[in-house]
Amino acid sequence: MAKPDRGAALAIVLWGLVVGGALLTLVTILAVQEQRAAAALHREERGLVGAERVGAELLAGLTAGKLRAGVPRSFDSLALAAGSDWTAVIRRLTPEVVLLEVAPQLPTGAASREAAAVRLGWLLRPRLDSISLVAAVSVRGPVSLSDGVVISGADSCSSPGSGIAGIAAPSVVVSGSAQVEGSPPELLQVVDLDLFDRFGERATLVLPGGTYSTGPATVGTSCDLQPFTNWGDPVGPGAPCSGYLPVIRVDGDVAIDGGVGQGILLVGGNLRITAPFTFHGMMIVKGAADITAPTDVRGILAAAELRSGTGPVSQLKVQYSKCIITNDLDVSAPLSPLASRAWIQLFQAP
Amino acid sequence: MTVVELLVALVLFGVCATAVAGVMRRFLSGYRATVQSIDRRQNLRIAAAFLPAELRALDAADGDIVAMSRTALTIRAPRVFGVLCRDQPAGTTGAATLVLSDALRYGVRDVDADSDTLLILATGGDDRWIPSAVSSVGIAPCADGRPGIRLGVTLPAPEGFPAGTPVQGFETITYRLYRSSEDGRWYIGQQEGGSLQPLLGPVTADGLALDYLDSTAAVTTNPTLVRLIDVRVRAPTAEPIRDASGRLGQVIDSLVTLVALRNNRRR
Repeated sequence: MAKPDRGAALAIVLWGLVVGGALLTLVTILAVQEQRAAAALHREERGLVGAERVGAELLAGLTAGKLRAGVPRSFDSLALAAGSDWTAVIRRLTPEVVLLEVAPQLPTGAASREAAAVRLGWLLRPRLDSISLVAAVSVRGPVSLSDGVVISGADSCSSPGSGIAGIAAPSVVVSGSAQVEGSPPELLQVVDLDLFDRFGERATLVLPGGTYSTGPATVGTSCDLQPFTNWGDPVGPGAPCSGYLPVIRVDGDVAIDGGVGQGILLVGGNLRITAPFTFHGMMIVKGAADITAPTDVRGILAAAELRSGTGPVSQLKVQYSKCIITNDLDVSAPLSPLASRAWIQLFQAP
Repeated sequence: MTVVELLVALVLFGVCATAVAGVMRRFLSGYRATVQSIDRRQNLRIAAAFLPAELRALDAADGDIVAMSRTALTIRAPRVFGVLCRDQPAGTTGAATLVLSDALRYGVRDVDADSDTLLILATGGDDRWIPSAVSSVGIAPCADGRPGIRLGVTLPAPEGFPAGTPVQGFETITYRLYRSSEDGRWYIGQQEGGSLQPLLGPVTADGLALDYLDSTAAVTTNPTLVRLIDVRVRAPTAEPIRDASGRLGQVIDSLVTLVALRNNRRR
């Protein structure tokens, strides 16, 4: 039988395959690690940019009032809706300063190996608006006042400040038992309603046009913020909803079928009051305010047109109150980053 | 076996061995090039990840840029963010004790009494930060009994701070290009106090170039006016590698990144 004569070629080829395969495996492992590291860095960069975008978007919708309701005490925190890819938490630090934290949702499964977490924080505080009010009632068109109208620009706060005009409009006709007081009682000038746009974006309650009957709602001894007809409680100091001052924006025509409310009421269309209504705060109506039932406003009222049906205005009481307006402005104040060192990258502490 | 057969076998063996050796040499060369490229990219990746993260949080207008040049930058770098969890009553000037909540403490490390200074947000609406030295670090419970850390500090004014007040810890650190006395290569180093540690490298002799831009994107030499920092890093492979044409040499890659400082005072 002949002896097999294979020589050294097979051994060399096998050796080459083994060594070459080992090197190839090593390079593949290194390349995969390299790719993962690059993906993590890329993810971190995207996370940073995305977190800044999400933070800016959230910031645009935050007001001091929302925080007062959601995080009333130091160290209270509230999760904010930030989409499916992000988590956001707002945390009260001091009565004035809050911390907004934004982080991406970490992926699960295989993708988590490439994840790099970026958590950003912003130190925020409310920035009070500076507005100049000229009259308790401001109307863009001519106004005719008759029986049952009492308008006062005198400050009704317990420590009254300086008053404002009673009514500002291009022309004012007072008849019957209508009373107008203020400094001066009547200010004949053209007024604008730019406050609507300023506060419209900060609305905490956005409603479609329609008919509403409003009043405070409670759950036990707490104010229930869920019903859209709960516009706070202006008549009961110490009541559960007395501290709730929403910024209500109605997109369209609205008829109020009686009730109470407080805060800032913005009506994008016409307002019609059909049953007794009490409101403490600022009522700004882009269209006509049609007062057909007793209406008691403590604060200011501004509208493009003011009437009662087709006749002169009646059954309207407006009493200017600087402290109520100040409180409204305080609650509706937007949050903005601290002037210095507001941006923080929140690395997880070791 | 005849002599002719032996010669043929030897020639065939030589041809096969040469081919295998050539393949192996290419494999090794490719492997070396890959590893070197990965090392180089890792260097640049460190530069891309680390330096911007350090620079973003600066408030140049408030003195966070201590010194700056084309190849070196000394900054007051944020290290810790925390929140007081005990009231610090007003009336104390000088030595005082602050307690930071463990749950709301973030940072790349804990507070270091040897190197850190603190900035404490003043009460009131002017967004002023009060500097304070740290003399000691220990453990102490918060007002609600949860764990916290105790900081011995020196307060410059008798201001009070309610629980919840934000506190930021900083250390002064220098990043600079330097040549190692050990291997003669250039590195980008991190210097805390007197100790200089290589952060990344090797880089080229011009491996770190920093340009400082103001709010109009013009180059400025005034540290308080810096709004953007242009960072350029050039890193070669540590060893020569063959390029696609077969030439042996060090391949240089570069990184350019423009960092906007996020914390400059807003008007």
